[in-house]
Amino acid sequence: MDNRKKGLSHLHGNLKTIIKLAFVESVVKFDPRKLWKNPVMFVIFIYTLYVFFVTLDPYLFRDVVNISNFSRIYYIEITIILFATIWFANLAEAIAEAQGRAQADSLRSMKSEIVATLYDPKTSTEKKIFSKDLKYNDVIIVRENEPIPKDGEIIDGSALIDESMITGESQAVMKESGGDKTSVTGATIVRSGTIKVRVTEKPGESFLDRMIALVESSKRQKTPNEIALNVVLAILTFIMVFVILTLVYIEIALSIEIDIATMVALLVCLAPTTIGGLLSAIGIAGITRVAKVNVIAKSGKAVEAAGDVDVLILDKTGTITVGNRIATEFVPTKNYKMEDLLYNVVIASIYDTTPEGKSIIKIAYKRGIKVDTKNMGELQKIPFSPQTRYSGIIMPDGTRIIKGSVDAIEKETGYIPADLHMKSKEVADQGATPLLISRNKEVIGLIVMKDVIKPGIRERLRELKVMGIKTVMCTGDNRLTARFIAKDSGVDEYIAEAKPEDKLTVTKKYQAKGMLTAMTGDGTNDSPALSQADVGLAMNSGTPAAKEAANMVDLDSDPTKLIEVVAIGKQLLITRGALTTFSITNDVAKYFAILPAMFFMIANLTSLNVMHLASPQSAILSAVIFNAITIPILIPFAIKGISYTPASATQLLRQNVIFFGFGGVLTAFIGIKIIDIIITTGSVGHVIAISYYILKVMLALIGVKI
Amino acid sequence: MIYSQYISILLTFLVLAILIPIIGRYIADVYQEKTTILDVLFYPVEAWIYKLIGTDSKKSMDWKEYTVALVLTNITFGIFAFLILTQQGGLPLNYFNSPDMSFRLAFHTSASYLTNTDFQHFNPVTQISMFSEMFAIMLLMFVSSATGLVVAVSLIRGIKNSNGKIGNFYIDFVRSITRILLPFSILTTFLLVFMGVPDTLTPYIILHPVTGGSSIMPLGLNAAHTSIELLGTNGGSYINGGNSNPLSDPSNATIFLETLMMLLFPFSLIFAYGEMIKKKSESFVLFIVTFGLLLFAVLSVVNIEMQGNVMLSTIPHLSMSSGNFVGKDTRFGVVYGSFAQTVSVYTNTGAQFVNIDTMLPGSQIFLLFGMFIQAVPGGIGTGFTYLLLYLLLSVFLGGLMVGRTPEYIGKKIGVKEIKYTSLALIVHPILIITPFVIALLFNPFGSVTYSPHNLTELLYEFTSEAANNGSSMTLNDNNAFYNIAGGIIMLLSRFIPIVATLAIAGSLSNKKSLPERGGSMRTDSITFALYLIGVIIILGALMFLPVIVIGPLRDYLRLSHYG
Repeated sequence: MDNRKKGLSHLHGNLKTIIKLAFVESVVKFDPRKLWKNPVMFVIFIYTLYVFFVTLDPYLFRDVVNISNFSRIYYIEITIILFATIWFANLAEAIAEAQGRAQADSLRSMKSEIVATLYDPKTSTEKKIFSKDLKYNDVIIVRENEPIPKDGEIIDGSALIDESMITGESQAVMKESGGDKTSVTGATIVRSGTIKVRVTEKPGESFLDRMIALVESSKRQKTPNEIALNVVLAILTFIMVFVILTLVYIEIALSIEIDIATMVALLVCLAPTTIGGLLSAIGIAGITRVAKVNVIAKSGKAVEAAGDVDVLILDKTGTITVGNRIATEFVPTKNYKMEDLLYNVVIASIYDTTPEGKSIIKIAYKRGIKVDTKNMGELQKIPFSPQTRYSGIIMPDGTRIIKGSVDAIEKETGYIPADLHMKSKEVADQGATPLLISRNKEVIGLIVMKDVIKPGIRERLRELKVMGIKTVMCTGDNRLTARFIAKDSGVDEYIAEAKPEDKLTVTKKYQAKGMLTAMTGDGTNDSPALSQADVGLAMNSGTPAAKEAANMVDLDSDPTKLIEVVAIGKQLLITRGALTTFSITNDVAKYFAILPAMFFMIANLTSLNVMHLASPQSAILSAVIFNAITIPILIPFAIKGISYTPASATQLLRQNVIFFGFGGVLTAFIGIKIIDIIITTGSVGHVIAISYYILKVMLALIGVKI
Repeated sequence: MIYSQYISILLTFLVLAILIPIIGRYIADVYQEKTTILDVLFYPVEAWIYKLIGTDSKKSMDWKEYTVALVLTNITFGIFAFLILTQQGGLPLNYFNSPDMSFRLAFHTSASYLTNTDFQHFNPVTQISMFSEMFAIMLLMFVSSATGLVVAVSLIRGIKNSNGKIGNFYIDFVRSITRILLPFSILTTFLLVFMGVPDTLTPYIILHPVTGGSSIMPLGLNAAHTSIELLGTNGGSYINGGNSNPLSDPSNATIFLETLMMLLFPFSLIFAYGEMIKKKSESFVLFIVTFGLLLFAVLSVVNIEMQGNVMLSTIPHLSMSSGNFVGKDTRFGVVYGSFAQTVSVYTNTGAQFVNIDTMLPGSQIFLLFGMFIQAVPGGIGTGFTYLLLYLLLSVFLGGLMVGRTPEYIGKKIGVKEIKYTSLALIVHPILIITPFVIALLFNPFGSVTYSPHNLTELLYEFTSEAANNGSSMTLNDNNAFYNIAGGIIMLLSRFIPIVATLAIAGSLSNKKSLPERGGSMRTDSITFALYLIGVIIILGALMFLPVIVIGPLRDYLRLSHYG
């Protein structure tokens, strides 16, 4: 079963828990020490408390409150709405956190406490120990059908390991000491063999632990972009506090009746509360979304850098092509029939267990040939060797059928038929590999082996191109093949006959031009490039060195993920920018609702009431209510991220300015007007009913997304 | 008559359009130290000046060295002018027997001219001696214009360079004067003299009108003063009544020339920018933004003034067809006069062509708005600087919206740039609103009457000072409160943004210049230009709407409800 789906249902079951947790956490977040981290909300909190105290005892605040006209109900309403505003912001953060934690838990759930066998290399003795007591560099022995307790590196032995609980891939993978396949992950199970594993995971420092730290706002390190935006928001809030404060004194000077609740209401409406309330939720949700595609990011910065990437360095195999060459065509020589060729091809490949060999048989069967090997008697296997460069079969009657490269077969037979010679050249020119089949020193036909481009990858590459991201393909293939695949898939550039160190060279080359690079890798010799690249995505199947060097790890070991991660990073930045724009343009509309109300006392200014709101008090209440409910309404967008169609930066700017800029003004006008109508004409029952439906839609939206 | 005025406006812009590329390229050449035609003339002079001040003309400075040099130079000139003004009674060329200026008035005056504000709390004819005019007033006009230019240029270098250096202040400063301000001032002085503006060491002549008696007609260095006043977007008149006085502005031809002079350098600098960073399309966007907003303001003000005062339209037999003529000179007409005044305020020159106090409240809102944003096109150098600050902020917000870490001309916009940009931009409203509220609360010298119009005057006073503009409505402001508060406002609102801007230039100059890549947000598109306009308007609206509401907007509504 696909683990991602499993994770999904697992989380679905926990939806109620998440909401419940979030509700509790959102109340805890009223702790001023926690609020302090969010300057916008902290300022709002201080003023909310102020209004709250005025509500309790207006006589203590005579100079800013008109005692004779004091309406306690109005003050209570404002106080409640202001508290709700802060609470909604807390809720947004809490939901994002709870969701992130649930995501981490589901990844961690396989890591239940297990008994491990600790091995002491000095005394060669074994000891049973709880996996939680394992320390960094401890050596453990894992035997058949035992789970591996922690992340580590095989130092001795080899084993088939079942990683389905992490990757969803049912087929066990071979891991052994030495080379690039030494890395094992905690919670995976050894299916056969015995291995000695050195624990590479420090307690509390596993990738999962790091990810969990990223989704908890208290431990989260803000990214430079987020810090800069926070500066803008803090300054905007400061200037609004200043404007309102001076307005109070202007009113005093002009002997206009001051109403402190209205002043605070204006401040709350003008300060960028919407984005201030959602900002950290957006950041946390970005990490969670990455985790949802089974990628663990080591820092929030890495996720944002992914959105910034200019150059993607992609491995051909596994990313652009399926990975193995597949037979796509069979060509018999002049005197041969197709059926005969297919028959011989199948026989020659019977013992070929490589994916290529398997594909030959599969495709040949598809062409309608049937070979019954049971009645053939004893078949003798000619294994493939690097020297001969062919493999095949000797039939009981001594017939020798082999398949191999053009050179190898030429050596065997001493000649190549002219038509096949031509054909093989043509095939090689197209970047495919020709294989020849010979039967008793007679060449009978040719198999075209081709790299098959992964389904959907052309579209993805085209999208990247639209967004201005350059793609570079790295492959060990020769130039011809590389060029063909590059052209066929739509990659911008390719590096043929690439050695592992070439990735580092390419990365450095583009970085020297000032571009941000992203790449994937799994081997130890990839690690310099992985750490050099701005975004390095290591395969979980890779070596610990590679994983340590990278700033993200893909649990599925699927290099195509890199493209997905880039999209998520971009979406994170877009969401932040779009909601900021929305928040600021919203404020403009709120001005028009509140200012006329404030200057109601001054004759003539009522003509500023462009929205024809019922009364000053209803205008202010509507604006504050609208301001408050925008936050929860936007929570689903913050968590899920704003969807966008790949387009050039200028197009994206235009789209988002129109949608979120003008949209921000429009929704505020319409929203405030509707709320004004509801609170002036509707009953309490109406208000409750509408709130209920809004809540319901909201939960449904989050529910679907989780 | 009226149509010819509209055609004159069009003609002004046309001539401007022809001059901008020529002057712009020249300015770019000057600051890139390319050979120009004036080399032969100025090399010896400059070499002598460099030797005198002991500067190494090859050495490029980092932003801190640049800032220190700029501030010290400004302080030195400021103190020099202050001393002259307070001692002018005993100094030569004091034809009108002008007394020593009081310390507070001298502080306000030297601060005013040092900051390119040129706000006058004095009578220029009787309170300034010709010696003070030459060695305090005109000297500071050159100093402040050059300072504005070098700040803009260092910011451009910050965008361009990657070596942490933003140029040599002394070289930039000297070249600004010798290569740009001085030659053009001399040229326009001759033009003005040719058109009838006096320029002589003769202080005055005595007239004997046919009606009998006698009166004094001040002559002096009117044309020279007017040249640097307008070219350097200084403002501050040589003579009572400013540029509406026939002695400073005798004809339709002179007001045409003078309007052009105010627009010349602010717009040419935008062109020079494109030349210097080798991306003309970036200049194009800035042209659209500045010219678009300026044109909108001009058309609005002209339209409002042409509608006339509705309060008067109820009087029988009084036609409003020729517009609101109160406070405007018949030589210029309502249309061109309002146009020249709008240009004067929007370029932060502040020269008076018409009486702002008698303009209609709607026009006053537009004039105030121009000073709130200070960037369309704004004062010499400073306007461009503010424009780039708005742009950096827009790039930051817009960059996020397209899903990339924001960058401008290959420079990433980080926390530092945003911090200093925000600082430079919020100083402005704080310095306007704080003294405004203080004046409202304490009503110093009984100058506040709390009528909407009076509140507009008060707001205009502080806005003009904070914007380093210098134009004013009629407010009784030569007293201790307005002198000292005004002086402080002008100095702070000039030098805090300057230091912040230099810090941004420094930070940018330390950053690697990235090439233009496929996914970068283009800042040279129409989309971005419109977006930038939106950001400028919204920022202005968010901060200043309340004060606009209680002052001019109330005045405006009072008027519109009348009819």
